Amino acid sequence: MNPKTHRRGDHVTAPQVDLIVDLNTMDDTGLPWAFLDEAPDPARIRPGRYVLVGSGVTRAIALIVDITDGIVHLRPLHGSVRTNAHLLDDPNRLAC
Amino acid sequence: MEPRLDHRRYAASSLAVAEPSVPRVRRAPLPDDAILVIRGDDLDPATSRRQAEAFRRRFSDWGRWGLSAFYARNDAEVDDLGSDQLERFSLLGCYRVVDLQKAGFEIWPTFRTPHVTIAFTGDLDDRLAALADVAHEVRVNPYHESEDTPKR
Repeated sequence: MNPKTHRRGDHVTAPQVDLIVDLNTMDDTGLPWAFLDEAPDPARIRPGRYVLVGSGVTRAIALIVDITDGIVHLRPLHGSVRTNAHLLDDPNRLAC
Repeated sequence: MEPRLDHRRYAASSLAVAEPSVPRVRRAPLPDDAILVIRGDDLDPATSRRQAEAFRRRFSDWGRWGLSAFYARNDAEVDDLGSDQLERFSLLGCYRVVDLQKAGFEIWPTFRTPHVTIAFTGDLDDRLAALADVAHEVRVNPYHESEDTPKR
């Protein structure tokens, strides 16, 4: 293995997410998941909608696939938030 | 003659029995040559805590904390993970299975290959501190598209 240097704690400002999701997660669906009741505004989380998700400094635009028994499944899109921001209902909220 | 009711059969067919809330463990064990466990690193220790708590809330009958990760057998598979499941992470934390096991963590093959759950019991803060102390390498993910990358 070839170690690459990094500095833990080099935090950058990341925009507020619609849903805090650790994008490592998976369940039987094969998709990342989160609890609906942990969303800052659960009303924003609806199947078919694109939302901003992530945790720490990690961010992604993701499609909400379904909500079952309070579990939200989502499909994160490849590419940066900036690349996919046009899919959000209000892309301008990401503007700094 | 009046048919006799088979109460056991009736009970089994008519009562909804709640499934235990446990993660699905694959029948196939981890391959012997699965030497690495890879986890996207978001530079926030609170993420691991939050995920371990969410995992335990969802799979409460399993009695363990859990963190999602993926196994890899070689650098090429780490590369594959970086370009696909873990593409959103700029950094990848790479652990050796043997080092995690030595520190008392279990590696369970859960859900879909190559997903694994790093499982543990005990005090959450203590165990997360122990996980942070496990020797690991943090690699820059060359497939991650940073917000500074010019738009394609």
